[in-house]
Amino acid sequence: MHMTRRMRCLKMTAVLCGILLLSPEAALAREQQSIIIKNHRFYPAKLTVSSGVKIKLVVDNQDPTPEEFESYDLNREKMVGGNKTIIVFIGPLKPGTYKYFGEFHQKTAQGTIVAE
Amino acid sequence: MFSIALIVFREVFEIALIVGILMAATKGLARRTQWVGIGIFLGSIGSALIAFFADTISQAAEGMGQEMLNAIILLIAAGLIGWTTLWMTRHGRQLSQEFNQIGRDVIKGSKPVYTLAVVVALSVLREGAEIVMFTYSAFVTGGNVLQLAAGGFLGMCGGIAVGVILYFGLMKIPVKQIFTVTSWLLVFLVAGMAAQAFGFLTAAGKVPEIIPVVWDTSRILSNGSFTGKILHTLVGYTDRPSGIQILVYFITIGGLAVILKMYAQSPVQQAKKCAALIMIGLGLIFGTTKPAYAVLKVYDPYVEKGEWELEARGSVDFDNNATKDNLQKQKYALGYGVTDWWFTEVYGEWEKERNDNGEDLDFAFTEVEWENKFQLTEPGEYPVDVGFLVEYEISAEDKHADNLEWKILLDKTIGKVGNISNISFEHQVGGGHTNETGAGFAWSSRYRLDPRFEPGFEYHADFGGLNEGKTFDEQTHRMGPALYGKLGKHMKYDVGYLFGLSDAAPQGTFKWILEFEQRF
Repeated sequence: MHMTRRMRCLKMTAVLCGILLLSPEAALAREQQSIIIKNHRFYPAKLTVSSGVKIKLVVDNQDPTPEEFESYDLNREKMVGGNKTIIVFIGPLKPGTYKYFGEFHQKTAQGTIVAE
Repeated sequence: MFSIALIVFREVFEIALIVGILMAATKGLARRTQWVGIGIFLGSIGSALIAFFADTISQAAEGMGQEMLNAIILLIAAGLIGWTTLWMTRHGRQLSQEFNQIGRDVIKGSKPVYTLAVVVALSVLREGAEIVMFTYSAFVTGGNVLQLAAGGFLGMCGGIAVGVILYFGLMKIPVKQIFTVTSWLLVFLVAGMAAQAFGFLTAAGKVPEIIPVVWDTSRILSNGSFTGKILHTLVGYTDRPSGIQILVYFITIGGLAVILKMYAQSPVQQAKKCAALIMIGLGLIFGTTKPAYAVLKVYDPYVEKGEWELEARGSVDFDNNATKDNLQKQKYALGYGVTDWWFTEVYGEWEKERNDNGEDLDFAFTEVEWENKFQLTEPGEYPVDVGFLVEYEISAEDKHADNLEWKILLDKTIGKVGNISNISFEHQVGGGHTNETGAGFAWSSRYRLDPRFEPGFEYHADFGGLNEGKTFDEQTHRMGPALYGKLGKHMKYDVGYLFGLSDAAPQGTFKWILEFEQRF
């Protein structure tokens, strides 16, 4: 069948979309969010994320000292070294507020994640 | 006369030390002298009673009555002192300010003050009983009443004198620091009492020694010597400690120190903590004795790098069938998170076995285990978190082969319910091994209500050899309620009661696991 250029483009796009949709990556749709640790505080202190999807949380520790990202609500506990970045997977979350804290500096390192 | 004086002096001295420290630690508390006085009075009467019924007590508890009584008294006293210390820490700032004004305020919170009476009474009880018995026997073997009385009086004065000196010595410390100093003195006191209690429990056969004698410094500083006795009461020194005494000593110090540090909490939370600890403690003493099935632990697939862990666990079986009743096992371990995916732990296992005649034997060391847990997935990245565990057991008993066991660990939290399953396989290795590969399965679900309190249930199954083809009743199936939690930053507990579902399983099994975690 003779295709116009447009049809070939559309076909390519359709094929690519198909590949993406069928791949495991797309099947486990993830949202990426970031949190920064600076001066033993979390920024943003209140992070809003989507409910019902898995979240890939990138925690970037910009302090020279280590911290432990910990949350009973989210059921996660992970060490992040000084000037290091870690990934924490959370969710899918039901709508609500989830508290977390930095175990080594609990007085200041407090944060919440709000799932909407 | 001098022998009486010496005995009385030694015992009174020990009481005086405890009373002196307690008096110093509670300076500023209204009417504490009154309570301490009541304690001494009650203790004296009590000790006379004990001496009177000495024979009966000895015969009780299968001939271990005296040891059990001593252990229980020590543990109750240690618990009360510990609680009083924690209460004191909470009111520390108030007390170190103005004692005069506080007087009235503190009367309101005078509840813990009566515990002073109880603690003192218990101490007097223990020591006093010995004094009375020795005096009585000396009298009966033809002693001169006057001489005995004089010797006793002399000893008592000496003991009290030392206590008073200690008290005033403590009073010299500046007000700011007196609080911390006495708190720490009390922590050591409690740890020493707990270790001593476990010495009695070992004698009574309730817990294993682990290592019979870790060190022997009886030539350098014996328990009987003057300095030895002081150190014994103050910091719990003993010249030939067993492994479990050392373990209990450091766990007590660690536990109390941790609780003391985070003591900015409400009375309700403190009380809950104490209650939980006491329950666990009682479970430890009364719930553990004979051997049962080794692994009543459902493992999660998580590893924390750099974490040190001290673990103690055990189980007791209950059954109408005498050969299955009251079998017990205890395991003690030290573990370390080497990387963020590999945790390694070494266990020692003790069993209280039964010989062929159906007689109960003492705790025997049965095996050493080396366990390695691997976290294979990032928590939450996949629908289920996966881990793997492999352990090698070296049997310390003749005719028993070694054992290699491996497990797949799966964890999934759904909403507020955490679920863990373990699929296990094992195979004997070495001399006398069978060619069977055994299989097992375990499940745990818990409701994440609160970090300190998570109710749930567990199911454990041992299918036997894959080729053996055992029927359901020949296999071991058990299920029952469990309670999990983390108290503070360092203590985790796991207790449960499993009902036997198949004939081969014991009708009931009480199990407990305690973990102390620390990162250095």
